[in-house]
Amino acid sequence: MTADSSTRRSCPSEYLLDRYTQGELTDDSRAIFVAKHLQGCEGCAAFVRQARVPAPAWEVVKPLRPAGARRATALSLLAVAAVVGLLFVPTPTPVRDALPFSSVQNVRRKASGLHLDVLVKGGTKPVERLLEGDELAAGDRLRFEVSSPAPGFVGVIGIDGTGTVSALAPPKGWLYALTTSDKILLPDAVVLDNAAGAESLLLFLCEERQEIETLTVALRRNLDVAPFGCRTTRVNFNKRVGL
Amino acid sequence: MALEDDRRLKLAALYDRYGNLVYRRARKLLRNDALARDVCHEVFLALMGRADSLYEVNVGWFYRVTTNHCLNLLRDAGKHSMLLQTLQSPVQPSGPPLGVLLRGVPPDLQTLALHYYVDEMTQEEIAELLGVSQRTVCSRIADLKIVLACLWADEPSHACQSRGKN
Repeated sequence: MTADSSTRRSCPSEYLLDRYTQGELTDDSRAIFVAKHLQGCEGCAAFVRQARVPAPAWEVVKPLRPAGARRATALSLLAVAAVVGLLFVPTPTPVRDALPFSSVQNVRRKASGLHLDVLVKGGTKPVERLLEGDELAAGDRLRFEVSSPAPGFVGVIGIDGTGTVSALAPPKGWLYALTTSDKILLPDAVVLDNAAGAESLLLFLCEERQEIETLTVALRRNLDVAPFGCRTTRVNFNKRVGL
Repeated sequence: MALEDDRRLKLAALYDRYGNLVYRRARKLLRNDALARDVCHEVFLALMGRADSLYEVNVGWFYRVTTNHCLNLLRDAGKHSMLLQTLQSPVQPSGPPLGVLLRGVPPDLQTLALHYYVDEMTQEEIAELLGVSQRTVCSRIADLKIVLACLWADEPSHACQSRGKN
């Protein structure tokens, strides 16, 4: 991760690190190479940590093109603003943050040290942290903040009141690689549908890299047993429909 | 519970996931925050036109599109020197900056030069990213090295002259 030609190839390229961070390395030998390298290279580990930070939500955008291109650029910026306006920027409310954080975590410590915190954005309300047994509404948006005592591969799966299993984060493909015990905000956001009832969110930490579909298939077979090589922790909530 | 199928939400999720990568890469190539933001917006606008294949984009797609946007921006503005001005030549570290050398590099080799010298990717990674065989990458790197060597040479060699004829 340096432009110094004297150290070329001593570290993985940023491209490889980015693919690793996004769980896109389909070649196990390369994934293992990167994982081992990260343990001994603070520079690359810092790069990966930084790469996991969600994109900034810019509030002010100004045209940078020459005058002839301004009209098209302005239209483009409007379109981008529409997209960026949807971004879910977690800003926990003072009220919920005032709670002792341990009180939030204690209720969901079912796998030692493995934590799932759910950030909820409902309508125009500010972002809140979900507490065990909270009531949510259809249309609420959720994001997931995870931490683990050990490196591994993580994913979040939802089970609704009818027992339907849905992959949420990632929605498909490889689980996210977790190399640090720091809290990591997963990139995916989900919106609750309008099926009322009790629901659960399950965070999985797996020793081996695998696709989330493997976990959903295993759960559909047996809701009570964690897939082999995986630990799990659960957060339950109730969902209401309408007012 | 189900995932929101709305396309705009998917775009927002993609922005959340890859926006930082795009911005970082554009900033690295352009060395300008404002231009990097502009490129970031353009990349996601390009993505909006791919509504049917939003689930197919990955790191490689964002690398390719971001690199192309940056190079186009710099070509349009005639700012190639800004891109690599401060990077030392990998061929001859004591020589002039790579940016100066790239002024004479054909456009079709500039992307390769960026990936090979600036990004320090392996031939395997470049082949994967560009969707060509590793043999092709190897061959084009050989071409690139000849071009660089010719640009550096005080007296063009036979290889340079024969390339010039092609």
